[in-house]
Amino acid sequence: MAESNPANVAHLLRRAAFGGRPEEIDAFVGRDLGEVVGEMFDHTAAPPAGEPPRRTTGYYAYSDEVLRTWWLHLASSSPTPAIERLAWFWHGHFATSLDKVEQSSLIHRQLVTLRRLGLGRLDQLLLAMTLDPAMNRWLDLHLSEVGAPNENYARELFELFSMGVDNGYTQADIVEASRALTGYSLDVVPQTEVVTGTLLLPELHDHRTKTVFGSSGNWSADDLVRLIVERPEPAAFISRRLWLRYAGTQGSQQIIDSMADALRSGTVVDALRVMLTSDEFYSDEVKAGLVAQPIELLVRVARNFELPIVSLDLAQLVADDEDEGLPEEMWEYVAVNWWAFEMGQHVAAPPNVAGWPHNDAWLDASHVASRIQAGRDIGWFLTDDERPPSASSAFLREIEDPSTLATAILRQFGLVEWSDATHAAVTRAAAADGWTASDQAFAAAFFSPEVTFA
Amino acid sequence: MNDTHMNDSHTTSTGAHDRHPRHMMDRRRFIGLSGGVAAAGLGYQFGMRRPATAEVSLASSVVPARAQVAAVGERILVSVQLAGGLDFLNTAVPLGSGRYRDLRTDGAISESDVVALDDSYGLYSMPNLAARWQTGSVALVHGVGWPNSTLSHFEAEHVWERGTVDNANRTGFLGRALDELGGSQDPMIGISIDRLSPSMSAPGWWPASLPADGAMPWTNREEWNRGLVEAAQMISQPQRGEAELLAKYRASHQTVFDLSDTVGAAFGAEEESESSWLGSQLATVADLITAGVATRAFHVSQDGYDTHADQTASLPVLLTELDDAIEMFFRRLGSDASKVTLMTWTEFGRRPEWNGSGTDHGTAGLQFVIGDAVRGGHHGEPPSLTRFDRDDNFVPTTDFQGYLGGVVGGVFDIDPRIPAPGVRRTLEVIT
Repeated sequence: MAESNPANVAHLLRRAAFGGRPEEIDAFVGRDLGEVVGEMFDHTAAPPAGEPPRRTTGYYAYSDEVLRTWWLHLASSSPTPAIERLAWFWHGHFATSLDKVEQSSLIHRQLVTLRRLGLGRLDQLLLAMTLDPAMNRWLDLHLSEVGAPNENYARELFELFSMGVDNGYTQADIVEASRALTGYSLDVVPQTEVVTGTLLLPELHDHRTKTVFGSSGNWSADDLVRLIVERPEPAAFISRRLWLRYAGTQGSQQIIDSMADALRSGTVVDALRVMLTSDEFYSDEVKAGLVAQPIELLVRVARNFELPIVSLDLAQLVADDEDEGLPEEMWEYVAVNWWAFEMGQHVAAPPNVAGWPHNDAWLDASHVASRIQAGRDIGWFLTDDERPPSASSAFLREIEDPSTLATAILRQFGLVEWSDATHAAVTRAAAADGWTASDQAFAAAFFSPEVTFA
Repeated sequence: MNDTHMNDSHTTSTGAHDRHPRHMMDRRRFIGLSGGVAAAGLGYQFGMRRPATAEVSLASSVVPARAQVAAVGERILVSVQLAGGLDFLNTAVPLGSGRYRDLRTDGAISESDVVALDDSYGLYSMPNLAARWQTGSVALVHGVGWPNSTLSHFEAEHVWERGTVDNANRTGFLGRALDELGGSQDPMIGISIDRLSPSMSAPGWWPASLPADGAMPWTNREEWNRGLVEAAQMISQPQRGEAELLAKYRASHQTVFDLSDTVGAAFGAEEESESSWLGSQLATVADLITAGVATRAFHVSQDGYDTHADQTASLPVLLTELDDAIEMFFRRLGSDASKVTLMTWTEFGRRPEWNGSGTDHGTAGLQFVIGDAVRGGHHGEPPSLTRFDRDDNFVPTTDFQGYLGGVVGGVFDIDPRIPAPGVRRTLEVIT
């Protein structure tokens, strides 16, 4: 098992828990890594997900902005950030967009389901997503009826969600699976058009025999999921996806096999435990090999520098307006959402069903420019005279010496080591204008390689 | 990732409720004017399109940071990705075809809803393009695909981006072409809007990418910002022996400086906000071209063509957007229009039969090539409506490599095997 030295613990928390505050890193150093991982994913320690207050019982119970603020608050304040980070992984895996789903409470429901079931067994998770109304609307499942099935969901179920492209299934399997998934309609309240769930309508379902993976029967959703997870491919595919998003590299066959074995006979957390305690996860190649996603960076800043969103009371969100979102007075909570948008990662609006960009796709000039700008905005926010600082960010206004300031900033980002070049750059940003420009020092740290890379 | 722009209406074009946080723009001004060092006088208005100061001559204010200014008379290629798989059959509609109506049943487009291009085909929901067709500057390229093509969006998209079915090849059809044109010395030879499209992936260097509003952090860098600018300059220095990820990081920081210098001044005052995401992107491209930036290829994209369901409502909206955006683009180019060739590419066409509400993934896509350098007219055989492949899909008739080799090779006057390594017969679509 890997060693729980400071560099490894900091790396673990950055990859799996939105980064760690300096004291959180210190608390884990020297402990058994298996225990640490177990504690990180202890669902009994997780807070309830909660829900934003609903303005109406109608269609737009709360605005998109409120939905996003709710999730960002949860991720930023939760005592179990690893669980929130895993929910974020699943959100990217079963990528569904609010733009098409429209009803914000459906996305809320999906996120809560992913958070809860994402720790557990793969078949339960796949079935829950197959029956999830947000997913249904997103991939047109409700329009798929006996005699006129569409392949949208069935294809993505195999290709993106469970097995990987052309990996153990054929076009015929997709066609047959589409027939098995006919009739899954949306349960809608007629007067308000509010969708409340998925409903299998027998008259719209194809009751004939379907053959998937050579096995024939009058299959419907739960049968289909069972047939899928009986195959060897899903556990390996999901393990590869977890490794890709947490470790960033290709991953050796051994580690993928070990994770897949754990997942096949157990849960997602079992597979994560294998991954996060392996020596390979702590290799230099893995440590240097992954760019932090914008949301990871922002949640890390929120947690480590104590942005106001951490102390948001959900009841405050009742001030939401259907068209305008939250009022200007609540800007300090909404800011994180805005910066996420600026950086190109808006919660619940992935570019398409394949999910978020990965790794070096975040490093083109356009995205780098947006990180520079977001870093500047956050730096200003944290040092704004008209806003009292949080306890964790007060030092930005107190430390005069640029070099000392640079060290403190880098440390507050949850780094335990950094290059001389980065320290020099952050110091320069603080000093070059003739006063101690802590906002610029923050911004320079934000776009430094150590923070850019997860 | 598609959300880095500031304009309205970036939603999938299915009439979805506009979820854009427009009111957030006011918040930006609010935060910009309140307190701290974010005082007025800051030259760069974060994220917003910079209004040009009055009477600025755009051409003279463009100062490229590193590269020579290329002769602006050289040909420019604009690559428009139609993401999702455009349904060719309901776009270039066969006229007088009973077979078409049988296949598409109540999803078929009625002939009164198309503009006839000739006796055989009518164009649906694209009246501007239909008019432009009559000038001989529009090519319709039919049946574009490859044998045993995949029905997966993402696989098909990757094949197109690489310009080859060989998935060991990590570069893109545009990236290789730009490399041939000397792009490794000047990354701004290629600009991809919103994100760097893998079609522009180049060997060992990275073309530029730009958000649609062109906002760059170092435009008009002010004296008092010096600390941050210097920090960025320090970390953008390439270092020997670094891993590729770090090398790309540093190169992109450098490109951000270059873009800030050249692009920042290229935007005109008082933009009418474009009504579609594609329109915004193409407006930016047009402004860059007319400002004389030394860029030879641009990439933009329009999403939403994956019309499994509700196609009757969504396809005309998409095509209207595309049509309006192209028309606006050429108009906005003014006298520079003659330099520009616009090509579209879409990962595949769609299934012959209507699924009751739309069409599922298929093969044999339709592509458009538009511009003065184009041999207008039909290219390639439209796929047979009666003889299908094993999966009941259309049989492609035009090799996608011939298409890419023909367009890219033709526009840049380079060997067509550079964009399309496996090309056998090049499509003669560029004069």
